[in-house]
Amino acid sequence: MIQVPLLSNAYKPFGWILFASSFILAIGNLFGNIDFLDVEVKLPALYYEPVLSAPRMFTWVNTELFPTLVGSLFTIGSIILIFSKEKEEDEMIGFIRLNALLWAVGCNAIYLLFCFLFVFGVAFANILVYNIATIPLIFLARFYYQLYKAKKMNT
Amino acid sequence: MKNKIKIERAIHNLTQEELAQKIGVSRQTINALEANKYVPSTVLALKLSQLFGKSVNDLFELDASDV
Repeated sequence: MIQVPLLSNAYKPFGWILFASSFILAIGNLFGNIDFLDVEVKLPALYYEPVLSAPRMFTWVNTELFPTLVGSLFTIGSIILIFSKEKEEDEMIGFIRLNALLWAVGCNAIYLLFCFLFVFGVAFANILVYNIATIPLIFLARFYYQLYKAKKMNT
Repeated sequence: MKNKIKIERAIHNLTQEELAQKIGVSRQTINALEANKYVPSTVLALKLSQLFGKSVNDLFELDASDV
């Protein structure tokens, strides 16, 4: 049977380390202005729209390294966690994984709808930033809760 | 969908763990199947049918919620 290609289970600890550490650093950066690097770097940009000048394409931008690095590591960690196998991977776990992804997308849509209707101004822009984390967080909560339920039913 | 996996497993004197190993799934999946909490794929149903020497229709049947 053709199955969704997944990463080996060996990647899972690496995914957890990336995910957890970057999540903590992101919370520190967003709410406590923590920036351990405090370095600006020049990065290539496909599209750049500065506040007071015209937008440019295929250019270079000076940006803070810390948020870029933390955001990238969080995304990589999430991808590894979502797309790596469990120790005993089989079709039921595959079903639970797809179900958790469906839940994550659905809950995220409801969360966005709520924010579109009831949150405005700068707070809404912040919500779009937090929205980066909602799908992986809801997915992980649902996936591991369902696995826990399946294991509990077994004992 | 209801099934007779638990009965067939008892007839063949297999534990859930042994049956799981024979058809290449986890013990949780066998447990969920027997508790009618999980509907298997056609491939898994055919593997069970082959192992127990019974047709898929003898092992599985539709119930009121499937109609």
